[in-house]
Amino acid sequence: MVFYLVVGLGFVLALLIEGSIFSFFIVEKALPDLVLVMTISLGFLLGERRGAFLGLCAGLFQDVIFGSVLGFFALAKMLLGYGAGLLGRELYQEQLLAPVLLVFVGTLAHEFVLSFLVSQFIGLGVPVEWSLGRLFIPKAFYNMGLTLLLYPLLFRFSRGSKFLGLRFSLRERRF
Amino acid sequence: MAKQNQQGRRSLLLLLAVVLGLLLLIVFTGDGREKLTPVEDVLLALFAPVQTVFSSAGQSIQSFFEAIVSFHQLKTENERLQAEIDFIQNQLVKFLELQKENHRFRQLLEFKQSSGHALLAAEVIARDPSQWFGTITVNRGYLDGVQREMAVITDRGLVGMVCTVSPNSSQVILVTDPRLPVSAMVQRSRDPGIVGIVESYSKDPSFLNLTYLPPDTRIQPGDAVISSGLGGIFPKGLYIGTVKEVKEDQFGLVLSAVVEPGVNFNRLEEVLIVIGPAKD
Repeated sequence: MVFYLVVGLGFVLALLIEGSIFSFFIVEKALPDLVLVMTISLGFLLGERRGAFLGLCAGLFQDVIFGSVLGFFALAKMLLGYGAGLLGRELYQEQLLAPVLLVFVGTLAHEFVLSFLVSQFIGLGVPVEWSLGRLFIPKAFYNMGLTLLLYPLLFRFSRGSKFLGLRFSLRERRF
Repeated sequence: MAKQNQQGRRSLLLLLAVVLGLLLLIVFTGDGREKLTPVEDVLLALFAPVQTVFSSAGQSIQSFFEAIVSFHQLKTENERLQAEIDFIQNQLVKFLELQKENHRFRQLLEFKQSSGHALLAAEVIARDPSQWFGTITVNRGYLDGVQREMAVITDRGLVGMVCTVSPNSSQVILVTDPRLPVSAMVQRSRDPGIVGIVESYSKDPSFLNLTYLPPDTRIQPGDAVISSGLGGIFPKGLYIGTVKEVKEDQFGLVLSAVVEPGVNFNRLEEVLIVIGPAKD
């Protein structure tokens, strides 16, 4: 219960930071998506069901706070949380490379899903080639950077204080 | 295993149901709503003040970064402008230098034309730092027709004498050097036979000393002192300087005078070498 309370507060804080402080760190019109990084990282650590649940809640909250249309962020983030959870069973969670790459790919997927939903349900569309270079890829790199900082904290938090270190190496696995 | 599969299938079905529900939610809310749900109202009402705080924090951070950026821009611009100022100042110095040089050359040219001597213009290229302006080096040598013991002058008066000559340069010993006595007379009186010796003035190297004048010499401060032509080195009538003070020796046998040279030896840049009498 405490865990979910802290995670919930973390998501609220992430949304607040995203909407205020991060808006001053725009790279090529792209902003980092802290909520997405948290969703993918936590989904990767906690499994697909909890990942989907956290993605759904965080996405819905984001829909309410930042958009009048409900469901876009909820759907996209829920799918990403679910997918990250599925991969979390297959990949090494204690190594940083997997979540970092996953966040990169996940960000691109998230943006493509959103782009698809917006074009299908709202009728607004930006050429994908333009969005890819100007928005999606810079955002994905931005999120990768955030993951480097955030994932070790979330990993430690999800495991309690037993695991203090993360290894960058792919060869060695340590529990 | 079967239980796990069943659970997985149930999760997937649940996910599909939620996806379907969210798609419906998008459809219903996508066309624009007149009113938000009470839950949204409460959430937004709770969130707004916190967002305000974070937004002002964000603005402060932005201002901080903008200040850094503008500082950098100002620094860059300042450096550019400073470089421009340096360049313009450099140009101005060059311009003033050329202007002065032009003025000096004009004066030398006028003097050269009216002097009655064949003159060769030379540029001072070095000074002997071991003595008090005792010798200078000029950029004319024997390839230019310069010979030892030629007189060196400017439009302001006698400078000295060529003492050594090399192919492209010559050393000139100045009249302020103790090694170079010059036979001189007072221009105003032009008393025949009353000739003194101009030499360096030990008490003040910027002045000259006119010595060995007979006690009845008509001399007073302000008189011009010129070369007498005796000795054959310096042509007669070259201006040397002006009498500042007349003194008598302790026995009253000879007079001497302190002479202020016409030439400023500290600022010699161009000189004229007397290479012979004027050619018609």
